Amino acid sequence: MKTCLVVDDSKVVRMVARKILEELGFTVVEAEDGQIALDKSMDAMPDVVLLDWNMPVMSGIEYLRALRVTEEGKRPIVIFCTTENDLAHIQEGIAAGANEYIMKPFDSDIIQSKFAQTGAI
Amino acid sequence: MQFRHHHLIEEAKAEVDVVYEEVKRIEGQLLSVEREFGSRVAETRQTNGARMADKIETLTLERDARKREIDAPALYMLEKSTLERFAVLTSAFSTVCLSADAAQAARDLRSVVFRPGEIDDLDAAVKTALDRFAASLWAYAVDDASAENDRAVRESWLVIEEALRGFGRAI
Repeated sequence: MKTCLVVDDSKVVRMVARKILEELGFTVVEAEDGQIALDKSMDAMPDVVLLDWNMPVMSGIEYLRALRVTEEGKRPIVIFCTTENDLAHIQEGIAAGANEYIMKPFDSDIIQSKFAQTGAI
Repeated sequence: MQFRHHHLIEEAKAEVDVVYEEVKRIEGQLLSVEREFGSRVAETRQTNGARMADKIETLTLERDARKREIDAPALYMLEKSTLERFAVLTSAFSTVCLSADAAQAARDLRSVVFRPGEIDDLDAAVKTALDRFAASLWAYAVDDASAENDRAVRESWLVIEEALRGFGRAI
């Protein structure tokens, strides 16, 4: 069973994403900021990361950069999931090593489709 | 080109939309369970016979188990708290943005976000957070949509929300 790390400071988003991802067959791990996500990733590298941008302590982009410099951290599929939807943010996210970009609000169909596109499922 | 960061209130609105979409999806699943149950009960009734009542009882138990697994009540609770959070945040934003200056915004904000009995019990950290939220948001709205003001709004709101939860608000 694949593992998905859901990184978002919104408990609501984490809970909804968990429900959707568990139905897609993932084991879900949650983190409420980038630093906690990094600690959990180093502890057990997830297969997929669903990543918010704006978070306290460590943002999504900071987490992604820190993740991708490690050898193990190059492996997970990382999908940004954020309200930041302008081209500059998308380019910055992709340049930092994100595989895909989902704009909030999302629903089950969008998650499923983007995960399929990236080979996460 | 420098783009403005999306604001806290936009993220709160996105939360509402995310939950709403999930509620619709879950209600679709519930309807599907009920439709399947209805057609299987109809089939069972056609077969008739001595074991019909037992079969319908089994189908009913199976339907109830599937509905429990979908757990719509938990999602409705989540939707309620998400809406309440969005409502409080909207009130706070409108209060600050309609104020003549940051000082008035800070004064007005207390009575909008907290109930009369709660204001007297606020500790110094929460009062500081209210002032910081009002000043940063007012500055952000009027003339300086900077990342620093955005961060200050987000950080101070975390403290305010924590205080609201301490008073029993499910947000």
